[in-house]
Amino acid sequence: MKPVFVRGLGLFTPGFASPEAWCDGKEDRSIEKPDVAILEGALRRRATPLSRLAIEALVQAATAARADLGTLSTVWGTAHGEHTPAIKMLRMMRVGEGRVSPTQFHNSVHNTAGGYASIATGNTGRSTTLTGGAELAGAALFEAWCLVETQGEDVAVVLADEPLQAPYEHAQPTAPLSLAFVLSARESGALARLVTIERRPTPTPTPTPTPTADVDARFGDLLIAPAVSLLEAVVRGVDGTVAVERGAAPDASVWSVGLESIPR
Amino acid sequence: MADPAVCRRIGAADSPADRRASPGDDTILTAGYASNLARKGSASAGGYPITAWSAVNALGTTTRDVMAALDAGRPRMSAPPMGTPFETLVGAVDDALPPLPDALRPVDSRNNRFVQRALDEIAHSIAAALDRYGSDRVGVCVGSSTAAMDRIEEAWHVHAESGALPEGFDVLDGGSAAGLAKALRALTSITGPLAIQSNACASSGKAFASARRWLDAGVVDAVLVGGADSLCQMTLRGFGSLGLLSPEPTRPFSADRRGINIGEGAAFALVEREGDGPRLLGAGETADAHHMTRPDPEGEGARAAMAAAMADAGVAPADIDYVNSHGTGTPFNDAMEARAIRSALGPGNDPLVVSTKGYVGHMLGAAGATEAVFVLHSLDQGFVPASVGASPIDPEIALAVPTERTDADLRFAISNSFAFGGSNVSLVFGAAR
Repeated sequence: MKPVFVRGLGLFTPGFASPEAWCDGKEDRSIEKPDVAILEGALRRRATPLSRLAIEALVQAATAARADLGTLSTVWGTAHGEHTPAIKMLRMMRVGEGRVSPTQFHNSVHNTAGGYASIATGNTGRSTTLTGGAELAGAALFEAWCLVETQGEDVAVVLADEPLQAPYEHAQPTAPLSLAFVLSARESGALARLVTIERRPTPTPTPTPTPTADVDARFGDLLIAPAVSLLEAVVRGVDGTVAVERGAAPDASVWSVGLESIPR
Repeated sequence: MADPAVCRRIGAADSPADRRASPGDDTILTAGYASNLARKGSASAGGYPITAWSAVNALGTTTRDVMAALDAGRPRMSAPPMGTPFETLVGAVDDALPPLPDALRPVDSRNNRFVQRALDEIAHSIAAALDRYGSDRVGVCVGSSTAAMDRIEEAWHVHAESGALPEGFDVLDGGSAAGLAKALRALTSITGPLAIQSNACASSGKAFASARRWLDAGVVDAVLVGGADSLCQMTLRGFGSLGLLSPEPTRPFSADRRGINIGEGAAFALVEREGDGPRLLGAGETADAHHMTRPDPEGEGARAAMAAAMADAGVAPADIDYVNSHGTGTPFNDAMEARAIRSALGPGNDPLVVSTKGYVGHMLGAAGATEAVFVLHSLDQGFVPASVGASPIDPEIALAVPTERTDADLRFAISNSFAFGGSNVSLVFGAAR
């Protein structure tokens, strides 16, 4: 496949409301939840925490890329899915007859964010949602790359996950995280050129100006967290190869993205 | 052992013109390959042959049994194996299936047992594709909506009563699609791209759309496409709370239809760049942008998905002989879909329109793959199954819904899947050349 160009980025996690703030280490503890101004009225009341998180990153990246949210194709990725509605329904199932709320039910599908975003923006175009395990971030980037290659469309990749809740939580503490990348066949105004995407043995880490240790401290074993390294590499103008997946073993193959900086 | 009647032999290349440029090294993707954008060019104009398929569901745990029941117009709905506060029937897999190998115990689940059984049915075809193309040139793309939610529910109750999760239970491996992904890698030895599609009831229909993209992009030579979902309380109670469950066998397109029966199972299809078999010709994906659960009553998103799939396939509405509808059996869906089909195919074109959900129930994330496999069987055997339960047909449907099995020399067929969130996918398949 031909290279694709990153035209816009988005990131939200408590304390950081943009890719730049994250990369500059400018934490603002007053930032707790995304605003997501495009969700209004009933949509705003009904949208789940995960949907808000994901749509916030989408809007940031689309705005940076000057892309039209009414037509932009989207590939969403979430490993945990709509965990908050699922937990609410599990609780409801132990009360009385165990009936569940219809709103929580329709909010529990993995493509909830994609649904709300399409309704909010009137976007009737292509959108798909992926899930899975450690391979998810790479698979979502790969899917979007194939869309750019075969359809010539600009595509937003949106990765988002909430922490697992009790009693299913993992030992490592985790913050919610969303990331977005707008990929395009057009170079003009792009932030970086992505040249390869492949599953291969874990690449030697590309040196970046700041260590990514903070990612592990903040996001624990969140399966999409390695994709933060790709966002950082784009922002910092790195040339090299970045793994977007944690290998199960040191020599395991992982999704890796090769990128080249574009002079600005 | 695979069933030779339904697992087609991998044949010789259709023609050199159908070959795509291949990478010059052993990486999956490298920049600078020749562009493969010729969507209407020689490479994809003939579509991609589907050389093997399998299904496990309420009709049986072998593809042979499933297809025999479809051929005979013999549905199989039963009372739910678990208690629910709603009166309804389900399409449940009754036979006990063998567990996964010991090494996969953390990801063993009812859902992954369906997957293992369905993969066993076409094991020799998958092995042949791996030999032929190399394991890194074969991908796997599977749709699932609930994955092993039944195990998450079980763990919740165990925790509520004992204060601890079941020994060794991890919600991602044990209950979510992460465990499905691990099972697929281990059970197939495929090392190419793997994706799990989770777009509710459109999940495994959209898996075919992805497979087509991967093949069009030239990054794989075969894709194992499938879907898997297992019954759980959350979906039964959720659809019940929306008032969408039928207390009797589901009757899509009938004037007396009362709603959905939920089903479970798995289905797989091996889509290759070369070989013999019915063909995947096109896919259309749209969003309603209307409402989270209710489809656009005018069916515009569904119509647009069918129109896009036909345009992608390079076939005209007059070429479509058979539509395997989404056909859930709810008053709203079937009326909307009938409008969309009439609009997409236009006056004068009168394909046979069937819902096969009357046989197996609505298999949610596995519905698209199961119904695609039913279409492949029909294209292969030259018949359209009876749309069971449709009589008396709702006059407002105004489509040719057959209530008896119909032998027909089929050329092209559409398979529809629509989902919560307004996600629509239509697929066009063609008979073997």
